[in-house]
Amino acid sequence: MTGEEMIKVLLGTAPFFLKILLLMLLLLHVAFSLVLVRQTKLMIKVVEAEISPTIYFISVIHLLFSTFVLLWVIIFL
Amino acid sequence: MPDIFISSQPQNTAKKGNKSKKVSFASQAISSFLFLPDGVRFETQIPGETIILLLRKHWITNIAWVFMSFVFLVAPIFLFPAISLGGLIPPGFPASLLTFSILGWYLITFSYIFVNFVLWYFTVSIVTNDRIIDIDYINILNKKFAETRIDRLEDVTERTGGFLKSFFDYGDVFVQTAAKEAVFHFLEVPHPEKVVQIINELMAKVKEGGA
Repeated sequence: MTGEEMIKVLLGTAPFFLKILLLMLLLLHVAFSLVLVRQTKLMIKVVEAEISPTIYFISVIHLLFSTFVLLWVIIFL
Repeated sequence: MPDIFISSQPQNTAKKGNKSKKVSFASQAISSFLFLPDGVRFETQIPGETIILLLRKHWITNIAWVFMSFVFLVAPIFLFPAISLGGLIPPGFPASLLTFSILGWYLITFSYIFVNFVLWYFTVSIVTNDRIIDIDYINILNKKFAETRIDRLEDVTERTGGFLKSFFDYGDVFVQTAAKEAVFHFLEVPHPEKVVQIINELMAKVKEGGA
């Protein structure tokens, strides 16, 4: 395989590797968001206030947004 | 000596009418100095125990991450058109990748804002009529919980200094207990002199009760 052919192969496979890398990073972020939801649930038990359900709701929204971005990459990228 | 159990200014107490209730809710949500807070409980609170003070770091201590969040929020509005107009996007660059860049950017920004807010909001110091409780979240996974009884307190000191602390009236309060090396740090809390005064009054009240 010549150098030119190698570059062509690399350029051809780059989007695939990029997608795999992004998927791995986004999976990590979804895991982080899940931990965040669980931790927020524990935190609002430690100090309960009127705003606590709102904070928990935001953590769920954050998880949904993270999942949405992951699904978007799987479908469209 | 004024009785701290009788508040001259009942702060954060829902008054009659929806408007005042909304104000109370909003102010309580972001307040860092709550005297006799209404509608707040903590996990280990025992029946009959009243929260006298609930302290968080002064809001000005959040200015760095709030400013960065603002920058992160508005940056794509200027950054992406500038890159596009400047011809920095190579021809054939997939539009889906550009859309992902924007989505990913706002996802990270959302995480950054939420984590910082949660860490600030739940890192609290609580003074009740019976105990002092210090809950520190070092990060999202690590919590430090410490408590001591008021009758075990020996000394309360405050430390302020510097332009920002003097201007915004916040500082550190150190509470020394009878146990060796057990010091409670209430860092960067608003009105440190009031905190010291309230804890001293509580200590005096507990001593009077015990005598």
